[in-house]
Amino acid sequence: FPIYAQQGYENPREATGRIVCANCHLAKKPVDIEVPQSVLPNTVFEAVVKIPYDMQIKQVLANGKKGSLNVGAVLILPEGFELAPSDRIPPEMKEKIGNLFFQPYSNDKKNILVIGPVPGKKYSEMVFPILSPDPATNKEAHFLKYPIYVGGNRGRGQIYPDGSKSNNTVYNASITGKVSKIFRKEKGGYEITIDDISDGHKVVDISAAGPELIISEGELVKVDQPLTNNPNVGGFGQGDAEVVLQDPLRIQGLLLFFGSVILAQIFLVLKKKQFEKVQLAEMNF
Amino acid sequence: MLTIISYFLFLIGALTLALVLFIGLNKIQLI
Repeated sequence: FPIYAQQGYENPREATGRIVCANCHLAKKPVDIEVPQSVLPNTVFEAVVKIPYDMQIKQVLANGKKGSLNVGAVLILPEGFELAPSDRIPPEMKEKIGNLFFQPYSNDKKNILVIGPVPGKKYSEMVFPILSPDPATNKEAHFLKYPIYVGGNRGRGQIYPDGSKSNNTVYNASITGKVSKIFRKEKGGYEITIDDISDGHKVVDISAAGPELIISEGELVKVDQPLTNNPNVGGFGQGDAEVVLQDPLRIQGLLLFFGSVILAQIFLVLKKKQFEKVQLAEMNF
Repeated sequence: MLTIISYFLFLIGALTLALVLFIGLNKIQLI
């Protein structure tokens, strides 16, 4: 959940470039972002975030049953860029956005947008409406190339912010020993009693409902050996893109320069043609 | 997309300009 990151971290992007969602969503999966190469100041443009996954697969839910996956994303925009106000979003773009509700990461971080969890079947591809800053009014903004970072996740996490495991992860043996008893709990999940071979003391490992056991009674297990399979089918991925905040004057200047080059070239050829005529007229045989 | 279109527009514009100048200046016997 984005709220876990919002509560725990002032900035979701660490100094190393890692986005903090990866602390709880341990598996790595791809994510893709598309933004325009350049945008003009004070303009609404769209950033398309794609979180691809196999729509057929189901994940383990909190109650141990299977269900479809949700997706969520975080978009870290450069300083000054922000979510486009709804009265400036054109109707075609509104249609593409759908019913998504974007949220700024915090009050002083309006350039970071979070969303989710939303049904993955419908929102595997999300469109973020973004408003570019205007350097004429906003002194912080400049006509530069800016990086945009994106993190996208599908499926549930493996760890809660307090460090405890969710039921969407693998459970391991806490000691080396022999599995003496496996008790299936009423609400799902198992209590696995392991006898330590060296001194005979018993340890009960508890697995939550969801993951399936891959060991049986009487089996010898080593410490940290997985007792259950890994039910996780989702994962988190991050990527980045670049966008140029373009000054319209620079484009006009470039076009003017191109035009002058074209004219100069044509007139040079014409001058040469004219001079050839003079040469012809002055020729003596 | 816009980049490619504007590139070709420029190219065609430049070639047309050159053609018009050649024919026009040839007619008034400047070149």
